[in-house]
Amino acid sequence: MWTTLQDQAFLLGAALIMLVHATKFDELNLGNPVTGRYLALLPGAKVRDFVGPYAYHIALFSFLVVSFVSYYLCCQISPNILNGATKLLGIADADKTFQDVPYPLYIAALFIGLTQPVIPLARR
Amino acid sequence: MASRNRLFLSRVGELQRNFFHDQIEVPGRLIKLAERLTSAIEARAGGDKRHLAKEARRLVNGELLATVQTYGDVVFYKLQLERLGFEDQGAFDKTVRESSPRELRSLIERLVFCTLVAVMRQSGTKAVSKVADAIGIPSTVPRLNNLRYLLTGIAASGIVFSLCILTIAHIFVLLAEPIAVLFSKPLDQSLWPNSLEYVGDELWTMVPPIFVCLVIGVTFLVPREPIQSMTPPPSPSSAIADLVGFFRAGISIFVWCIVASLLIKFAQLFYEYGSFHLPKEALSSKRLLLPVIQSFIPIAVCLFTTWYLASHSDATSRCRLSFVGTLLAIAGTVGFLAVLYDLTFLSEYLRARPQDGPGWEHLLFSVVANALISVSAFVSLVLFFRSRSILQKPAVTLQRQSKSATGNAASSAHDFNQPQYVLRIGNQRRTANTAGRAIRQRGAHGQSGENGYATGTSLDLDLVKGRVNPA
Repeated sequence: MWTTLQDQAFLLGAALIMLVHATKFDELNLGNPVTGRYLALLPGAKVRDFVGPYAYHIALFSFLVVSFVSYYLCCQISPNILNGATKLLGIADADKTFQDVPYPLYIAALFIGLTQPVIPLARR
Repeated sequence: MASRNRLFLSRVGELQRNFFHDQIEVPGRLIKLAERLTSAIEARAGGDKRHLAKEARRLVNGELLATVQTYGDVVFYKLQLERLGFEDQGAFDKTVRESSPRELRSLIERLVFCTLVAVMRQSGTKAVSKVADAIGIPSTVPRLNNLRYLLTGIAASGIVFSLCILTIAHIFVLLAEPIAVLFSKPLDQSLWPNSLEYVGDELWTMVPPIFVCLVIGVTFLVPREPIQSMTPPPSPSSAIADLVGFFRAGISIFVWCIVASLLIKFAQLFYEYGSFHLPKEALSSKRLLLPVIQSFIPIAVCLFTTWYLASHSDATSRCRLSFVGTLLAIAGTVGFLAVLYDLTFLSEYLRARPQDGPGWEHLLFSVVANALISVSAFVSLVLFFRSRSILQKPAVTLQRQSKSATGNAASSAHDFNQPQYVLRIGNQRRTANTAGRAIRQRGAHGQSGENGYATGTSLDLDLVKGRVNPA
Protein backbone atom coordinates (compact mmCIF):
# COMPACT_ATOMS: atom_id res chain seq x y z
CA MET A 1 0.00 0.00 0.00
CA TRP A 2 2.69 2.47 1.10
CA THR A 3 4.79 1.57 -1.94
CA THR A 4 1.97 2.48 -4.28
CA LEU A 5 1.38 5.79 -2.50
CA GLN A 6 5.05 6.70 -2.88
CA ASP A 7 5.21 5.82 -6.56
CA GLN A 8 5.76 8.95 -8.63
CA ALA A 9 3.65 7.71 -11.51
CA PHE A 10 0.80 7.05 -9.09
CA LEU A 11 1.04 10.51 -7.54
CA LEU A 12 1.15 12.20 -10.92
CA GLY A 13 -1.83 10.21 -12.09
CA ALA A 14 -3.72 11.00 -8.88
CA ALA A 15 -3.06 14.72 -9.27
CA LEU A 16 -4.32 14.64 -12.86
CA ILE A 17 -7.45 12.76 -11.90
CA MET A 18 -8.21 15.10 -9.00
CA LEU A 19 -7.90 18.14 -11.25
CA VAL A 20 -10.02 16.74 -14.06
CA HIS A 21 -12.68 15.39 -11.73
CA ALA A 22 -12.87 18.59 -9.66
CA THR A 23 -13.53 20.49 -12.88
CA LYS A 24 -16.03 17.91 -14.03
CA PHE A 25 -17.89 18.07 -10.72
CA ASP A 26 -18.53 21.77 -11.16
CA GLU A 27 -20.20 21.30 -14.55
CA LEU A 28 -23.96 21.06 -14.64
CA ASN A 29 -25.70 18.33 -16.57
CA LEU A 30 -27.25 20.23 -19.46
CA GLY A 31 -28.70 17.13 -21.06
CA ASN A 32 -32.00 17.26 -19.18
CA PRO A 33 -34.45 19.41 -21.21
CA VAL A 34 -36.57 20.39 -18.19
CA THR A 35 -33.75 21.56 -15.98
CA GLY A 36 -32.05 22.95 -19.08
CA ARG A 37 -34.94 25.40 -19.53
CA TYR A 38 -34.25 26.89 -16.11
CA LEU A 39 -30.50 26.76 -16.49
CA ALA A 40 -30.84 28.79 -19.66
CA LEU A 41 -32.17 31.60 -17.45
CA LEU A 42 -28.80 31.72 -15.70
CA PRO A 43 -26.07 31.48 -18.32
CA GLY A 44 -22.76 30.39 -16.85
CA ALA A 45 -24.35 28.91 -13.75
CA LYS A 46 -22.31 26.32 -11.90
CA VAL A 47 -23.00 23.67 -9.33
CA ARG A 48 -21.90 26.04 -6.57
CA ASP A 49 -24.95 28.24 -7.33
CA PHE A 50 -27.49 25.52 -6.57
CA VAL A 51 -26.32 24.19 -3.25
CA GLY A 52 -25.16 25.66 0.03
CA PRO A 53 -21.44 26.09 0.72
CA TYR A 54 -21.32 23.32 3.34
CA ALA A 55 -23.12 20.71 1.23
CA TYR A 56 -21.07 21.70 -1.82
CA HIS A 57 -17.73 21.16 -0.14
CA ILE A 58 -18.82 17.92 1.50
CA ALA A 59 -20.09 16.59 -1.84
CA LEU A 60 -16.97 17.70 -3.72
CA PHE A 61 -14.76 16.09 -1.11
CA SER A 62 -16.76 12.84 -1.22
CA PHE A 63 -16.65 12.88 -5.03
CA LEU A 64 -12.87 13.27 -5.08
CA VAL A 65 -12.43 10.64 -2.39
CA VAL A 66 -14.44 8.16 -4.45
CA SER A 67 -12.34 8.99 -7.52
CA PHE A 68 -9.10 8.62 -5.59
CA VAL A 69 -10.09 5.35 -3.93
CA SER A 70 -11.25 3.89 -7.26
CA TYR A 71 -7.98 4.94 -8.86
CA TYR A 72 -5.95 3.52 -5.98
CA LEU A 73 -7.81 0.21 -6.10
CA CYS A 74 -7.32 -0.07 -9.84
CA CYS A 75 -3.61 0.65 -9.47
CA GLN A 76 -3.31 -1.73 -6.56
CA ILE A 77 -4.95 -4.79 -7.98
CA SER A 78 -5.12 -4.43 -11.70
CA PRO A 79 -1.67 -5.84 -12.59
CA ASN A 80 -2.43 -8.97 -10.56
CA ILE A 81 -5.87 -9.29 -12.11
CA LEU A 82 -4.48 -9.00 -15.61
CA ASN A 83 -1.70 -11.45 -14.72
CA GLY A 84 -4.34 -13.89 -13.57
CA ALA A 85 -6.33 -13.43 -16.75
CA THR A 86 -3.25 -14.04 -18.91
CA LYS A 87 -2.36 -17.12 -16.89
CA LEU A 88 -5.88 -18.46 -17.17
CA LEU A 89 -5.89 -17.90 -20.91
CA GLY A 90 -2.60 -19.77 -21.20
CA ILE A 91 -0.31 -16.95 -22.35
CA ALA A 92 3.36 -17.82 -21.90
CA ASP A 93 5.50 -15.63 -19.59
CA ALA A 94 2.44 -14.12 -18.04
CA ASP A 95 4.42 -12.79 -15.07
CA LYS A 96 6.64 -10.64 -17.30
CA THR A 97 3.83 -9.20 -19.40
CA PHE A 98 3.16 -6.18 -17.17
CA GLN A 99 6.51 -5.89 -15.44
CA ASP A 100 7.93 -2.65 -16.84
CA VAL A 101 4.69 -0.86 -17.62
CA PRO A 102 4.00 2.47 -15.80
CA TYR A 103 0.64 1.13 -14.82
CA PRO A 104 -0.71 4.05 -12.73
CA LEU A 105 -0.36 6.44 -15.65
CA TYR A 106 -2.31 4.12 -17.93
CA ILE A 107 -5.01 3.86 -15.31
CA ALA A 108 -5.05 7.64 -14.92
CA ALA A 109 -5.40 8.03 -18.68
CA LEU A 110 -8.32 5.63 -18.61
CA PHE A 111 -9.94 7.61 -15.79
CA ILE A 112 -9.75 10.94 -17.53
CA GLY A 113 -10.45 9.55 -21.01
CA LEU A 114 -7.94 8.37 -23.57
CA THR A 115 -8.66 11.04 -26.13
CA GLN A 116 -8.70 14.06 -23.87
CA PRO A 117 -7.65 16.94 -26.13
CA VAL A 118 -5.53 18.46 -23.36
CA ILE A 119 -3.18 15.49 -23.40
CA PRO A 120 -1.00 15.70 -26.52
CA LEU A 121 -0.38 11.96 -26.77
CA ALA A 122 -4.04 11.08 -26.23
CA ARG A 123 -5.60 13.29 -28.87
CA ARG A 124 -6.24 10.48 -31.27
CA MET B 1 -11.07 1.89 -30.73
CA ALA B 2 -10.03 5.25 -29.35
CA SER B 3 -13.40 6.88 -30.03
CA ARG B 4 -15.19 3.97 -28.41
CA ASN B 5 -12.91 4.27 -25.38
CA ARG B 6 -13.55 7.94 -25.15
CA LEU B 7 -17.27 7.44 -25.32
CA PHE B 8 -17.24 4.83 -22.58
CA LEU B 9 -14.68 6.40 -20.27
CA SER B 10 -15.99 9.92 -20.43
CA ARG B 11 -19.43 8.53 -19.61
CA VAL B 12 -18.10 6.84 -16.47
CA GLY B 13 -16.91 10.19 -15.13
CA GLU B 14 -20.19 11.82 -16.09
CA LEU B 15 -22.20 9.08 -14.45
CA GLN B 16 -20.25 9.53 -11.24
CA ARG B 17 -20.80 13.29 -11.41
CA ASN B 18 -24.51 12.95 -12.18
CA PHE B 19 -24.91 10.52 -9.30
CA PHE B 20 -23.36 12.96 -6.84
CA HIS B 21 -25.39 15.84 -8.25
CA ASP B 22 -28.52 13.78 -7.73
CA GLN B 23 -27.53 13.13 -4.15
CA ILE B 24 -27.18 16.84 -3.37
CA GLU B 25 -30.19 17.56 -5.62
CA VAL B 26 -28.39 19.90 -7.99
CA PRO B 27 -30.03 21.67 -9.73
CA GLY B 28 -33.34 19.85 -9.16
CA ARG B 29 -34.03 21.07 -5.65
CA LEU B 30 -33.97 24.78 -6.49
CA ILE B 31 -35.82 24.25 -9.76
CA LYS B 32 -38.62 22.32 -8.09
CA LEU B 33 -38.85 24.91 -5.36
CA ALA B 34 -38.86 27.76 -7.88
CA GLU B 35 -41.57 26.02 -9.86
CA ARG B 36 -43.77 25.52 -6.82
CA LEU B 37 -43.31 29.05 -5.57
CA THR B 38 -44.09 30.43 -9.02
CA SER B 39 -47.19 28.27 -9.26
CA ALA B 40 -48.34 29.46 -5.84
CA ILE B 41 -47.79 33.10 -6.78
CA GLU B 42 -49.68 32.68 -10.05
CA ALA B 43 -52.50 30.92 -8.25
CA ARG B 44 -52.63 33.79 -5.74
CA ALA B 45 -52.76 36.36 -8.55
CA GLY B 46 -55.42 34.36 -10.36
CA GLY B 47 -54.45 35.31 -13.93
CA ASP B 48 -55.35 38.99 -13.48
CA LYS B 49 -52.75 41.33 -15.00
CA ARG B 50 -52.97 43.87 -12.18
CA HIS B 51 -52.40 41.23 -9.55
CA LEU B 52 -49.55 39.68 -11.51
CA ALA B 53 -47.87 43.07 -11.79
CA LYS B 54 -48.31 43.58 -8.06
CA GLU B 55 -46.73 40.20 -7.36
CA ALA B 56 -43.82 41.03 -9.69
CA ARG B 57 -43.21 44.32 -7.85
CA ARG B 58 -43.26 42.49 -4.52
CA LEU B 59 -40.46 40.27 -5.75
CA VAL B 60 -37.97 43.12 -6.12
CA ASN B 61 -39.06 45.26 -3.19
CA GLY B 62 -39.85 45.20 0.48
CA GLU B 63 -39.42 42.14 2.60
CA LEU B 64 -38.03 39.95 -0.17
CA LEU B 65 -35.30 42.42 -1.05
CA ALA B 66 -34.41 42.66 2.63
CA THR B 67 -34.17 38.88 2.77
CA VAL B 68 -31.83 38.84 -0.21
CA GLN B 69 -29.71 41.56 1.37
CA THR B 70 -29.51 39.63 4.63
CA TYR B 71 -29.02 36.07 3.38
CA GLY B 72 -28.18 36.33 -0.30
CA ASP B 73 -25.38 37.21 -2.65
CA VAL B 74 -26.44 40.79 -3.41
CA VAL B 75 -23.86 41.35 -6.15
CA PHE B 76 -25.03 38.28 -8.01
CA TYR B 77 -28.68 39.29 -7.52
CA LYS B 78 -28.10 42.78 -8.91
CA LEU B 79 -26.17 41.35 -11.84
CA GLN B 80 -29.14 39.14 -12.69
CA LEU B 81 -31.51 42.12 -12.50
CA GLU B 82 -29.22 44.05 -14.81
CA ARG B 83 -29.21 41.15 -17.24
CA LEU B 84 -32.98 41.39 -17.28
CA GLY B 85 -32.67 45.07 -18.13
CA PHE B 86 -33.72 46.41 -14.73
CA GLU B 87 -30.88 48.77 -13.96
CA ASP B 88 -33.25 50.95 -11.91
CA GLN B 89 -36.75 50.90 -10.51
CA GLY B 90 -38.07 52.99 -13.41
CA ALA B 91 -37.02 50.44 -16.00
CA PHE B 92 -38.61 47.71 -13.98
CA ASP B 93 -41.92 49.60 -13.58
CA LYS B 94 -41.98 50.35 -17.28
CA THR B 95 -41.44 46.70 -18.20
CA VAL B 96 -44.13 45.56 -15.80
CA ARG B 97 -46.61 48.10 -17.14
CA GLU B 98 -46.04 47.10 -20.75
CA SER B 99 -45.99 43.35 -20.26
CA SER B 100 -48.82 40.99 -21.06
CA PRO B 101 -49.99 38.50 -18.38
CA ARG B 102 -47.96 35.80 -20.08
CA GLU B 103 -44.81 37.91 -20.01
CA LEU B 104 -45.47 38.78 -16.40
CA ARG B 105 -45.67 35.08 -15.52
CA SER B 106 -42.35 34.52 -17.25
CA LEU B 107 -40.85 37.49 -15.40
CA ILE B 108 -42.09 36.20 -12.05
CA GLU B 109 -40.58 32.80 -12.80
CA ARG B 110 -37.19 34.33 -13.57
CA LEU B 111 -37.22 36.62 -10.57
CA VAL B 112 -38.12 33.82 -8.17
CA PHE B 113 -35.42 31.59 -9.62
CA CYS B 114 -32.73 34.30 -9.47
CA THR B 115 -33.69 35.17 -5.90
CA LEU B 116 -33.49 31.57 -4.79
CA VAL B 117 -30.10 31.06 -6.45
CA ALA B 118 -28.75 34.28 -4.92
CA VAL B 119 -29.76 33.14 -1.44
CA MET B 120 -28.69 29.52 -1.91
CA ARG B 121 -25.18 30.35 -3.10
CA GLN B 122 -24.60 32.58 -0.10
CA SER B 123 -26.34 30.90 2.82
CA GLY B 124 -27.47 27.41 1.83
CA THR B 125 -30.68 25.44 2.07
CA LYS B 126 -32.00 26.70 5.37
CA ALA B 127 -31.94 30.32 4.25
CA VAL B 128 -33.94 29.46 1.13
CA SER B 129 -36.99 28.91 3.32
CA LYS B 130 -36.73 32.59 4.32
CA VAL B 131 -37.37 33.50 0.69
CA ALA B 132 -40.53 31.42 0.74
CA ASP B 133 -41.58 33.12 3.97
CA ALA B 134 -40.93 36.55 2.46
CA ILE B 135 -42.98 35.70 -0.60
CA GLY B 136 -45.79 34.78 1.76
CA ILE B 137 -45.67 31.02 1.41
CA PRO B 138 -44.64 29.51 4.76
CA SER B 139 -42.10 26.73 4.52
CA THR B 140 -42.04 23.36 6.23
CA VAL B 141 -39.17 21.36 7.71
CA PRO B 142 -36.65 20.59 4.95
CA ARG B 143 -36.31 16.98 3.94
CA LEU B 144 -33.20 14.97 4.71
CA ASN B 145 -30.45 15.63 2.23
CA ASN B 146 -29.96 12.73 -0.19
CA LEU B 147 -26.21 12.61 0.24
CA ARG B 148 -26.49 12.68 4.00
CA TYR B 149 -29.12 9.97 3.79
CA LEU B 150 -26.86 7.78 1.68
CA LEU B 151 -23.68 8.35 3.70
CA THR B 152 -25.35 7.81 7.07
CA GLY B 153 -27.10 4.75 5.70
CA ILE B 154 -23.94 3.14 4.41
CA ALA B 155 -22.03 4.02 7.58
CA ALA B 156 -24.71 2.79 9.98
CA SER B 157 -25.42 -0.42 8.10
CA GLY B 158 -21.71 -0.96 7.42
CA ILE B 159 -20.81 -0.85 11.11
CA VAL B 160 -23.49 -3.37 12.08
CA PHE B 161 -22.62 -5.57 9.12
CA SER B 162 -18.88 -5.50 9.95
CA LEU B 163 -19.58 -6.54 13.53
CA CYS B 164 -21.72 -9.41 12.27
CA ILE B 165 -18.99 -10.55 9.88
CA LEU B 166 -16.37 -10.45 12.61
CA THR B 167 -18.58 -12.49 14.92
CA ILE B 168 -19.34 -15.01 12.18
CA ALA B 169 -15.63 -15.36 11.37
CA HIS B 170 -14.75 -16.17 14.99
CA ILE B 171 -17.60 -18.67 15.25
CA PHE B 172 -16.37 -20.46 12.13
CA VAL B 173 -12.85 -20.75 13.55
CA LEU B 174 -14.24 -22.17 16.78
CA LEU B 175 -16.30 -24.69 14.81
CA ALA B 176 -13.32 -25.97 12.78
CA GLU B 177 -12.44 -28.74 15.21
CA PRO B 178 -15.95 -30.13 15.83
CA ILE B 179 -16.57 -30.11 12.08
CA ALA B 180 -13.37 -32.05 11.42
CA VAL B 181 -14.45 -34.64 13.98
CA LEU B 182 -17.93 -34.78 12.46
CA PHE B 183 -16.55 -35.53 9.01
CA SER B 184 -13.86 -37.85 10.39
CA LYS B 185 -10.94 -35.89 8.99
CA PRO B 186 -7.77 -34.56 10.59
CA LEU B 187 -8.01 -30.82 11.20
CA ASP B 188 -5.24 -29.97 8.74
CA GLN B 189 -6.92 -31.91 5.92
CA SER B 190 -10.40 -30.55 6.48
CA LEU B 191 -11.68 -28.13 3.88
CA TRP B 192 -13.49 -26.19 6.61
CA PRO B 193 -11.22 -23.16 7.19
CA ASN B 194 -9.43 -23.60 10.51
CA SER B 195 -7.85 -20.20 11.09
CA LEU B 196 -9.05 -16.63 11.06
CA GLU B 197 -6.89 -15.96 8.01
CA TYR B 198 -8.52 -18.74 5.96
CA VAL B 199 -11.97 -17.73 7.08
CA GLY B 200 -11.12 -14.18 6.04
CA ASP B 201 -10.05 -15.39 2.59
CA GLU B 202 -13.34 -17.23 2.14
CA LEU B 203 -15.45 -14.34 3.39
CA TRP B 204 -13.53 -11.96 1.14
CA THR B 205 -15.02 -13.72 -1.87
CA MET B 206 -18.57 -13.51 -0.49
CA VAL B 207 -18.98 -10.16 1.24
CA PRO B 208 -17.96 -7.46 -1.32
CA PRO B 209 -20.50 -8.38 -4.04
CA ILE B 210 -23.32 -8.57 -1.49
CA PHE B 211 -22.37 -5.23 0.02
CA VAL B 212 -22.03 -3.47 -3.33
CA CYS B 213 -25.29 -4.90 -4.69
CA LEU B 214 -27.16 -3.86 -1.57
CA VAL B 215 -25.78 -0.33 -1.75
CA ILE B 216 -26.87 -0.08 -5.40
CA GLY B 217 -30.28 -1.61 -4.67
CA VAL B 218 -31.07 0.50 -1.63
CA THR B 219 -29.88 3.67 -3.33
CA PHE B 220 -32.01 3.26 -6.40
CA LEU B 221 -34.95 1.03 -5.45
CA VAL B 222 -36.03 1.88 -1.93
CA PRO B 223 -38.17 5.00 -1.41
CA ARG B 224 -36.51 7.48 0.92
CA GLU B 225 -39.75 8.58 2.50
CA PRO B 226 -42.79 6.59 3.51
CA ILE B 227 -45.42 6.45 0.75
CA GLN B 228 -48.73 7.91 1.89
CA SER B 229 -50.91 7.39 -1.13
CA MET B 230 -54.38 8.96 -1.06
CA THR B 231 -55.67 6.33 -3.43
CA PRO B 232 -57.28 3.16 -2.08
CA PRO B 233 -54.95 0.17 -1.89
CA PRO B 234 -54.75 -1.99 -5.00
CA SER B 235 -56.64 -5.21 -5.25
CA PRO B 236 -54.94 -7.97 -3.26
CA SER B 237 -52.46 -10.08 -5.16
CA SER B 238 -50.09 -12.83 -4.11
CA ALA B 239 -46.69 -12.10 -2.65
CA ILE B 240 -45.02 -13.89 -5.56
CA ALA B 241 -46.84 -11.70 -8.10
CA ASP B 242 -45.78 -8.64 -6.11
CA LEU B 243 -42.18 -9.85 -6.03
CA VAL B 244 -42.21 -10.48 -9.77
CA GLY B 245 -43.73 -7.03 -10.35
CA PHE B 246 -41.05 -5.46 -8.18
CA PHE B 247 -38.32 -7.29 -10.08
CA ARG B 248 -39.73 -6.24 -13.44
CA ALA B 249 -40.11 -2.63 -12.36
CA GLY B 250 -36.49 -2.45 -11.19
CA ILE B 251 -34.98 -4.70 -13.83
CA SER B 252 -32.41 -2.14 -15.00
CA ILE B 253 -31.05 -1.73 -11.48
CA PHE B 254 -30.86 -5.48 -11.01
CA VAL B 255 -28.95 -5.75 -14.28
CA TRP B 256 -26.47 -3.21 -12.90
CA CYS B 257 -26.21 -5.29 -9.73
CA ILE B 258 -25.48 -8.39 -11.80
CA VAL B 259 -22.81 -6.54 -13.78
CA ALA B 260 -21.20 -5.17 -10.60
CA SER B 261 -21.29 -8.56 -8.94
CA LEU B 262 -19.78 -10.29 -11.98
CA LEU B 263 -17.03 -7.69 -12.23
CA ILE B 264 -16.09 -8.13 -8.59
CA LYS B 265 -16.16 -11.91 -8.80
CA PHE B 266 -14.08 -12.02 -11.97
CA ALA B 267 -11.61 -9.53 -10.51
CA GLN B 268 -11.27 -11.70 -7.41
CA LEU B 269 -10.77 -14.82 -9.51
CA PHE B 270 -8.14 -13.19 -11.70
CA TYR B 271 -6.45 -11.70 -8.65
CA GLU B 272 -6.21 -15.16 -7.14
CA TYR B 273 -4.68 -16.50 -10.34
CA GLY B 274 -2.32 -13.54 -10.64
CA SER B 275 -1.17 -13.42 -7.01
CA PHE B 276 -0.79 -17.05 -5.97
CA HIS B 277 1.16 -19.85 -7.51
CA LEU B 278 -1.53 -22.35 -8.43
CA PRO B 279 -0.86 -25.82 -9.85
CA LYS B 280 -1.42 -26.28 -13.58
CA GLU B 281 -4.40 -28.57 -12.96
CA ALA B 282 -6.18 -25.69 -11.23
CA LEU B 283 -5.78 -23.37 -14.21
CA SER B 284 -8.89 -24.03 -16.16
CA SER B 285 -11.16 -21.70 -18.07
CA LYS B 286 -14.10 -23.79 -16.83
CA ARG B 287 -13.63 -22.02 -13.52
CA LEU B 288 -14.99 -18.91 -15.20
CA LEU B 289 -18.38 -20.47 -14.58
CA LEU B 290 -17.94 -20.16 -10.82
CA PRO B 291 -18.24 -16.36 -10.56
CA VAL B 292 -21.33 -16.49 -12.74
CA ILE B 293 -23.07 -18.93 -10.41
CA GLN B 294 -21.94 -17.13 -7.27
CA SER B 295 -23.18 -13.82 -8.66
CA PHE B 296 -26.76 -14.99 -8.26
CA ILE B 297 -26.35 -14.91 -4.48
CA PRO B 298 -25.95 -11.11 -4.11
CA ILE B 299 -28.78 -10.57 -6.58
CA ALA B 300 -31.11 -12.77 -4.51
CA VAL B 301 -30.17 -10.94 -1.31
CA CYS B 302 -30.61 -7.58 -3.00
CA LEU B 303 -34.00 -8.54 -4.47
CA PHE B 304 -35.53 -9.77 -1.20
CA THR B 305 -34.07 -6.97 0.90
CA THR B 306 -35.15 -4.13 -1.36
CA TRP B 307 -38.56 -5.71 -1.87
CA TYR B 308 -39.04 -5.98 1.90
CA LEU B 309 -37.97 -2.37 2.45
CA ALA B 310 -40.01 -1.00 -0.46
CA SER B 311 -43.17 -2.85 0.50
CA HIS B 312 -42.83 -1.71 4.13
CA SER B 313 -42.42 1.89 2.99
CA ASP B 314 -45.82 1.73 1.36
CA ALA B 315 -48.63 2.06 3.86
CA THR B 316 -51.15 0.67 1.35
CA SER B 317 -49.22 -2.50 0.62
CA ARG B 318 -51.14 -5.65 1.48
CA CYS B 319 -48.81 -8.29 0.15
CA ARG B 320 -45.62 -8.06 2.12
CA LEU B 321 -43.51 -10.67 3.80
CA SER B 322 -42.88 -10.46 7.52
CA PHE B 323 -39.39 -9.89 8.86
CA VAL B 324 -38.97 -13.55 9.75
CA GLY B 325 -40.52 -14.64 6.46
CA THR B 326 -38.03 -12.52 4.51
CA LEU B 327 -35.16 -13.86 6.62
CA LEU B 328 -36.20 -17.42 5.83
CA ALA B 329 -36.70 -16.63 2.15
CA ILE B 330 -33.21 -15.11 1.94
CA ALA B 331 -31.60 -17.96 3.86
CA GLY B 332 -33.39 -20.60 1.78
CA THR B 333 -32.64 -19.05 -1.60
CA VAL B 334 -29.03 -18.27 -0.75
CA GLY B 335 -28.52 -21.73 0.71
CA PHE B 336 -29.80 -23.37 -2.47
CA LEU B 337 -27.59 -21.18 -4.68
CA ALA B 338 -24.61 -21.86 -2.43
CA VAL B 339 -25.13 -25.63 -2.84
CA LEU B 340 -25.14 -25.21 -6.63
CA TYR B 341 -22.03 -23.07 -6.50
CA ASP B 342 -20.08 -25.29 -4.18
CA LEU B 343 -20.89 -28.48 -6.07
CA THR B 344 -19.42 -26.85 -9.18
CA PHE B 345 -16.46 -25.55 -7.20
CA LEU B 346 -15.76 -28.93 -5.63
CA SER B 347 -15.83 -30.73 -8.96
CA GLU B 348 -13.14 -28.33 -10.21
CA TYR B 349 -11.15 -28.34 -6.99
CA LEU B 350 -11.13 -32.09 -6.58
CA ARG B 351 -9.95 -32.51 -10.14
CA ALA B 352 -6.71 -30.83 -9.07
CA ARG B 353 -6.60 -32.27 -5.52
CA PRO B 354 -8.54 -35.55 -5.45
CA GLN B 355 -7.01 -36.52 -2.09
CA ASP B 356 -9.13 -33.85 -0.36
CA GLY B 357 -12.44 -35.38 -1.45
CA PRO B 358 -15.35 -35.63 -1.04
CA GLY B 359 -15.31 -32.16 0.57
CA TRP B 360 -18.77 -32.12 2.15
CA GLU B 361 -17.44 -29.95 4.96
CA HIS B 362 -16.67 -27.23 2.42
CA LEU B 363 -20.17 -27.55 1.03
CA LEU B 364 -21.54 -27.11 4.55
CA PHE B 365 -19.28 -24.13 5.15
CA SER B 366 -20.32 -22.50 1.89
CA VAL B 367 -24.03 -22.87 2.62
CA VAL B 368 -23.83 -21.71 6.23
CA ALA B 369 -21.45 -18.84 5.52
CA ASN B 370 -23.41 -17.48 2.56
CA ALA B 371 -26.71 -17.75 4.43
CA LEU B 372 -25.36 -16.08 7.57
CA ILE B 373 -23.71 -13.24 5.67
CA SER B 374 -26.84 -12.60 3.64
CA VAL B 375 -29.06 -12.61 6.71
CA SER B 376 -26.63 -10.26 8.50
CA ALA B 377 -26.68 -7.86 5.58
CA PHE B 378 -30.46 -7.86 5.57
CA VAL B 379 -30.69 -7.29 9.34
CA SER B 380 -28.14 -4.44 9.18
CA LEU B 381 -30.15 -2.63 6.54
CA VAL B 382 -33.47 -3.13 8.26
CA LEU B 383 -32.03 -1.79 11.53
CA PHE B 384 -30.90 1.35 9.73
CA PHE B 385 -34.20 1.88 8.01
CA ARG B 386 -36.10 1.63 11.27
CA SER B 387 -33.94 4.32 12.83
CA ARG B 388 -34.39 6.44 9.70
CA SER B 389 -38.18 6.22 10.00
CA ILE B 390 -38.00 7.40 13.60
CA LEU B 391 -35.79 10.34 12.57
CA GLN B 392 -38.16 11.43 9.81
CA LYS B 393 -41.37 11.05 11.81
CA PRO B 394 -41.49 14.59 13.22
CA ALA B 395 -41.29 16.12 9.73
CA VAL B 396 -44.11 13.97 8.41
CA THR B 397 -46.24 14.70 11.46
CA LEU B 398 -45.66 18.42 11.00
CA GLN B 399 -46.79 18.27 7.40
CA ARG B 400 -49.92 16.34 8.33
CA GLN B 401 -50.81 18.84 11.04
CA SER B 402 -50.25 21.68 8.64
CA LYS B 403 -52.53 20.05 6.08
CA SER B 404 -55.39 19.51 8.48
CA ALA B 405 -55.11 23.05 9.83
CA THR B 406 -55.18 24.89 6.53
CA GLY B 407 -57.56 22.75 4.54
CA ASN B 408 -57.79 22.22 0.83
CA ALA B 409 -57.76 25.71 -0.58
CA ALA B 410 -54.66 26.81 1.19
CA SER B 411 -52.72 23.62 0.70
CA SER B 412 -51.13 24.86 -2.49
CA ALA B 413 -49.23 27.40 -0.56
CA HIS B 414 -47.91 25.77 2.54
CA ASP B 415 -45.98 22.67 1.53
CA PHE B 416 -43.86 23.58 -1.42
CA ASN B 417 -41.00 21.36 -0.41
CA GLN B 418 -43.12 18.33 0.41
CA PRO B 419 -43.17 15.53 -2.17
CA GLN B 420 -46.38 15.89 -4.15
CA TYR B 421 -46.45 12.69 -6.10
CA VAL B 422 -49.42 11.35 -4.15
CA LEU B 423 -52.10 13.29 -6.00
CA ARG B 424 -50.58 12.75 -9.35
CA ILE B 425 -52.10 9.32 -9.68
CA GLY B 426 -55.57 10.60 -8.90
CA ASN B 427 -57.21 9.56 -12.14
CA GLN B 428 -54.77 6.90 -13.18
CA ARG B 429 -55.69 3.28 -13.22
CA ARG B 430 -54.83 1.48 -10.05
CA THR B 431 -53.79 -1.81 -11.48
CA ALA B 432 -50.06 -1.46 -10.87
CA ASN B 433 -48.92 -3.47 -7.92
CA THR B 434 -47.51 -2.03 -4.74
CA ALA B 435 -43.81 -2.60 -5.21
CA GLY B 436 -43.75 -1.32 -8.75
CA ARG B 437 -45.42 1.86 -7.54
CA ALA B 438 -42.78 2.19 -4.85
CA ILE B 439 -40.04 2.09 -7.48
CA ARG B 440 -41.76 4.67 -9.65
CA GLN B 441 -42.17 6.93 -6.65
CA ARG B 442 -38.50 6.42 -5.76
CA GLY B 443 -37.62 7.36 -9.32
CA ALA B 444 -39.68 10.51 -9.05
CA HIS B 445 -37.60 11.53 -6.04
CA GLY B 446 -34.32 10.55 -7.57
CA GLN B 447 -34.73 12.52 -10.78
CA SER B 448 -33.86 16.05 -10.14
CA GLY B 449 -36.37 18.11 -11.94
CA GLU B 450 -38.61 16.61 -14.51
CA ASN B 451 -41.20 14.82 -12.42
CA GLY B 452 -41.23 17.18 -9.54
CA TYR B 453 -41.68 20.03 -11.95
CA ALA B 454 -44.65 18.48 -13.68
CA THR B 455 -46.46 17.33 -10.57
CA GLY B 456 -45.87 20.48 -8.62
CA THR B 457 -47.44 22.64 -11.27
CA SER B 458 -50.64 20.75 -11.75
CA LEU B 459 -51.15 20.14 -8.07
CA ASP B 460 -50.90 23.72 -6.99
CA LEU B 461 -53.11 25.16 -9.69
CA ASP B 462 -55.74 22.48 -9.46
CA LEU B 463 -56.18 22.57 -5.73
CA VAL B 464 -56.70 26.27 -5.64
CA LYS B 465 -59.33 26.05 -8.30
CA GLY B 466 -61.02 23.29 -6.38
CA ARG B 467 -60.53 20.43 -8.79
CA VAL B 468 -57.98 17.68 -9.24
CA ASN B 469 -56.87 16.95 -12.77
CA PRO B 470 -54.45 14.32 -13.93
CA ALA B 471 -50.96 15.80 -14.34
